[in-house]
Amino acid sequence: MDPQNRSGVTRRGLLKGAGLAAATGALMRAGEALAREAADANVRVQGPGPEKLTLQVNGQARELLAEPRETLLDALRLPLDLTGAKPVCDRGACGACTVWLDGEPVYACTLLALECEGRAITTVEGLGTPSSMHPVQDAFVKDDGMQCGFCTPGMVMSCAWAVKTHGKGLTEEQARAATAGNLCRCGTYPHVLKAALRAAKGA
Amino acid sequence: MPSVTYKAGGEGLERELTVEIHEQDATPWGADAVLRLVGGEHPRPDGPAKATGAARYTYDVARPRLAYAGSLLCPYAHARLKDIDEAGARAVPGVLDVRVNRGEYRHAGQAVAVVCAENEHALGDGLRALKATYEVLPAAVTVEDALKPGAAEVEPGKGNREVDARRGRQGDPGAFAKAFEASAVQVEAEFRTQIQTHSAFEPHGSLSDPGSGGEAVVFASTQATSAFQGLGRNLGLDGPARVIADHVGGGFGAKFGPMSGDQAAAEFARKLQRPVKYMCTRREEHLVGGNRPDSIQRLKLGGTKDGEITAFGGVSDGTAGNGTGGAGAANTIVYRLGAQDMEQGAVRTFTARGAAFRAPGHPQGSFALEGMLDLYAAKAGLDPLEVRRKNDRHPLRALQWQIGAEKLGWSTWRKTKPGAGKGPVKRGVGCAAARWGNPGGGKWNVEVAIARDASVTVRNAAQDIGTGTKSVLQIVVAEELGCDLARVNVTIADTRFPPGPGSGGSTTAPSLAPAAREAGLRAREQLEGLLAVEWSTEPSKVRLEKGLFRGPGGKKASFEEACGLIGEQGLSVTGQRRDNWKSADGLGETAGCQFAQVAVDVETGVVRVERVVAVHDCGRVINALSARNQVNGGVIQGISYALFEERRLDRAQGDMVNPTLDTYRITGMADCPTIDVVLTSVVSGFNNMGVMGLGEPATVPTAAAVAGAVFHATGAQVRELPMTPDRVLAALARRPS
Amino acid sequence: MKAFALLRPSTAAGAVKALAEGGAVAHAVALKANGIDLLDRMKERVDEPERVVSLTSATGLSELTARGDGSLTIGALVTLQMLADSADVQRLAPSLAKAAGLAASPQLRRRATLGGNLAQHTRCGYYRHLSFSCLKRGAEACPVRAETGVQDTAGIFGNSVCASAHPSSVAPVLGSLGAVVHVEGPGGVRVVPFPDLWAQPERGRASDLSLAAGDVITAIEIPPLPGSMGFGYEEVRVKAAFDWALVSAAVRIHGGAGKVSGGSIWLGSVAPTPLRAVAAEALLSGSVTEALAEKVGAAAAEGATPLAGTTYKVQLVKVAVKRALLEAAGRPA
Repeated sequence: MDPQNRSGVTRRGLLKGAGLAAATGALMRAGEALAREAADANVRVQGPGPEKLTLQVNGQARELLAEPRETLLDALRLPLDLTGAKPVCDRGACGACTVWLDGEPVYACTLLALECEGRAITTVEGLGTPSSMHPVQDAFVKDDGMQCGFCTPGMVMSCAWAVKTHGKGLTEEQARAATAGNLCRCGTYPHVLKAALRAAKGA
Repeated sequence: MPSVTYKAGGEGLERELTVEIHEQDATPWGADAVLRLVGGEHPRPDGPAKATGAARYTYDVARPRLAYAGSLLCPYAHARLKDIDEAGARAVPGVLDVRVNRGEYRHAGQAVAVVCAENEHALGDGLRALKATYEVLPAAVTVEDALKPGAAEVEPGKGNREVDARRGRQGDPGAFAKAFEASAVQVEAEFRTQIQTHSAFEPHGSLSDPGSGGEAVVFASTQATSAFQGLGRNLGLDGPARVIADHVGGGFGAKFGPMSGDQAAAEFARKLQRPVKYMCTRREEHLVGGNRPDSIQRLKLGGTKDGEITAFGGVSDGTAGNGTGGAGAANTIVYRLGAQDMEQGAVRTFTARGAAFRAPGHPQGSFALEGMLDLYAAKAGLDPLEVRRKNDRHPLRALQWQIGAEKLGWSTWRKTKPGAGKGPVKRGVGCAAARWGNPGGGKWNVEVAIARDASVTVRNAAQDIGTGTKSVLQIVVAEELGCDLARVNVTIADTRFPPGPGSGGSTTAPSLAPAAREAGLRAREQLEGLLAVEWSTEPSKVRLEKGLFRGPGGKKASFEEACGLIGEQGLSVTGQRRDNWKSADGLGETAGCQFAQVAVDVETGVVRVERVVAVHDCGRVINALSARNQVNGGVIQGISYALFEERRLDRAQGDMVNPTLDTYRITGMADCPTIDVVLTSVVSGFNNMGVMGLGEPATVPTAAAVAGAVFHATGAQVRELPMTPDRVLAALARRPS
Repeated sequence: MKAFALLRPSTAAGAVKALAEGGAVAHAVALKANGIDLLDRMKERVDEPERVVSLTSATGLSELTARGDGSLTIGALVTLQMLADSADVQRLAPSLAKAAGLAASPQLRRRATLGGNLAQHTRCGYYRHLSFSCLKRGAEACPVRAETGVQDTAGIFGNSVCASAHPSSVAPVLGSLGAVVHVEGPGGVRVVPFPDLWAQPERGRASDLSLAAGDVITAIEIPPLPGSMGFGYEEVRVKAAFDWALVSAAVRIHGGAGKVSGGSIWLGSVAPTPLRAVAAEALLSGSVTEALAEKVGAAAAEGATPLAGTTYKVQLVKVAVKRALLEAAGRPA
């Protein structure tokens, strides 16, 4: 297709929708987009079969095979046998599979494993172990921030992020906000809050 | 049988009790017993495993060559299979086996076919390939539709309604009619409660491993390991299967036995001779994983002008799905209600069966009964709390009402008139009561083993579903042995160990802890015997005091030193739970009450619970930390029931429209109020430590207290749960101006 | 999820190309940003694409640029959390920062992109579960509209064919801000005014966007908003957090509370697409009093055609608009 002609299409669309848009600015950006297209249209194609993949999990490079349809949660639990993150809703609606992606809590069930390559993934196992617990995990034990424990790993990840981010000054409001995306069926919230604030004091 | 006199009760209700106890049983800890660990706040022993992700639940168990099974769920309330592509499913790469359940399906969610596959992806592909089509049959999925003339019958020829087998019709119709007629104040109203699903976070499921030469074993997410032993048959074993449930991700009453998927998985495992795991999907969990039946309660209450209830009666209809068990609403048991006539109807519908759910029948009954008290108080111009106190029949609750009212500031709050104050947000307070009466039972054995290195192991087949059973056993045994908690390892939830109860009815602690105490005592006696030999004295002259074993002549030994005398093979004893003692003397019911403070936005109908005060009794408190956690959890689930949760079925098709955790709303952190928990400790007199259960009563009165607070805040009583904006706005619109 | 090939172009143009190569069947190829909504649908097998084109490797789509003239350009991959946290957005378009910050949960806001948010499909339970029939998935009728349907979250405007409600809460805000959408497609790059971005429901059409299958949203542009404007956003939901809005309302007014001269009002979660409340906008003049706000709220609810189970949402529209307007005028209720 003739670039001039395409530019014309763009201009018509733009004028139709001019509205409040700064016409000249938009035109310029449209031109940039065309240039981008010309320069680079690389497409990486993966799958549908299993692909080799290296994930950086808890500071270690872990190699595995994953189909594109594998979520990060699938990959952590099965090939990597890190079963701390739990499948509860599998729809990004509960928080039990919360892990850190580059240090920020996310739901592992909403990510494709292949798209996590090159990102730093931290799971609850990466924070501490029963004999050497992270301060937040220790506080969860002391304040009984758990009952059945199935939401607990996700809850710990959100609280540990809050403590990491806000430090000693962590407020109840901040702790509540940080855990707003973690549901608990047993209703351990008051104990979770207490644990987060206890851990922050020692931060 | 030895007879023992001791001080039971507590909180001002102390009383001398004389009880006959089994000669092997431990002498009771009275209300005045000085205990080192029992009653304190102790982190649970499995806390570190749970907080670090090291705890392995059934869902987490991996095995070599593990295969996965799952079901195709019928999308209709009532249907027959027309066509299914079984061959197509078998042709899907990775599919190992397919089983089609032909016949008539009588609720949405019923398993039409079960597929077993190499992995979960292939399982999904296999289920998708089945492409089932159905002949849809007439159905009724709500109580009202099922009671319409000409409604399809779940059990043809039987009608859809029966008087509930358990609660039935109680009272005296003639006496009630007379008393109601004669009452100075009469109220009549209809209350409705919704269907709530258990929604345990770990779904139902199990892993059946035929062992392939080794030992066959079943891992199950269950409230009763013993109930899964029968899968041995499906697995092709000669006897019961060994069942393990190290950690269980919640139960709430719905995990008492295998479901059809568990049986299918065991049968696939047998056929394929490889381990097979079946875990319900979240949608399946909502659809068939159990639910609390709903209710429509049409009630009448009569009383005097000064607050004495003289008549209470009515009809409640609820559906427990295509069965009839457990549909009743327990609305008559907390207060003295005068002459009664209450009929509990169970209505069969083309829906999946209800299941016991944390205090079955009670939250729905409480919501309606307490609502009637609120209405009565409003009509008679009385304080709702005074009406409750006047008709209460539990001696302890008088104290609890007082504690709760003071903590909340009830009398100050109640000076606020409904709808008072500027702005659209109105505040108010309400209260409601709970009771529980199950002191536990069963002749369970707990084993205590001690090694020479002073490590103690407690064993029993019962499971810990999150309530803190492991902690209870640890504390009681450590108390008896005089050792540090950390010395005691609790290894339970394996049917190789001595049999234990299912976790239900708030009975696990009173059913198991007395046996643990006896076992701890027996083990301590053995240590005392070893020390007696060492010190050349009589065992009766060795006693444990302040953490040290002491003998004649100033001899002392620590627990560790005493254990050093144990032989190579270690020491092992069992203790048994003895029958409940006969002289409970009015302390056989536990009491509780809750107060709620709410904020209602009268323009949007949005309700927020701001504060709850929960005062509860559970006999003797073993672990105050986990007990508080139980009460907090009961309150929070109660708020969820009051404001959020509701299974919504398409009335034509019978399938659930909101089978996800975003559309089936449950309380989150942002909706969790400030909760004050007060535990009143009253030794029940049923067993050697006076412990009772707590899990269930803590969730009974919450919705009722919240509803009472909404009524106070707005002057509009919301008589239907959950109290969502649509229902609150409708109630406000009906409010007399 | 059905197996699929993942295509990861390094530019938006590459994505357009990859989409075009998806074949003749539109359903065989799907576009995603971070894919939160698409993955949900794929897990339910409501969507079963054979190829998924992912924008996550495409460069230049994650920038949030505030210009000297007060305009904002928001790359399609800018997340809701970035919007909520951005000092520029808080300053220039506070209603957008507010709506973004109230959405979903912290974990989702960190992943949910603005482009994905606009492209998400309805949360209607009938649409999202294969066990039900649904007009958007090709059925003849919408079962929500039947007397036996579950209607509590259904739409109350434009619901004669399909009673779905568009779930985005930031979309009405963008509408109120006069945003335009930059789209790259097989025919080139174009700018789509916000009202033109939406398509009314029809049988067999799942997407609520008017865009063609090969189109990619690359950015959302918000024009310069003078300091004399006021912004309000209000949503009503059952839970205090981590819940969908039952109704949301976004208001932008010209002039201060004393003398308003026009503005823009958009509603969310009430119709199959974000909805402009034209009749209510017409009343935006004079001094913003409680009484005017009530009148504007009532006008916004005019013409609603609620189903039996959604009559309450009419009241919610009135209140949400009233409150958003009062907030925009600097006098929150």
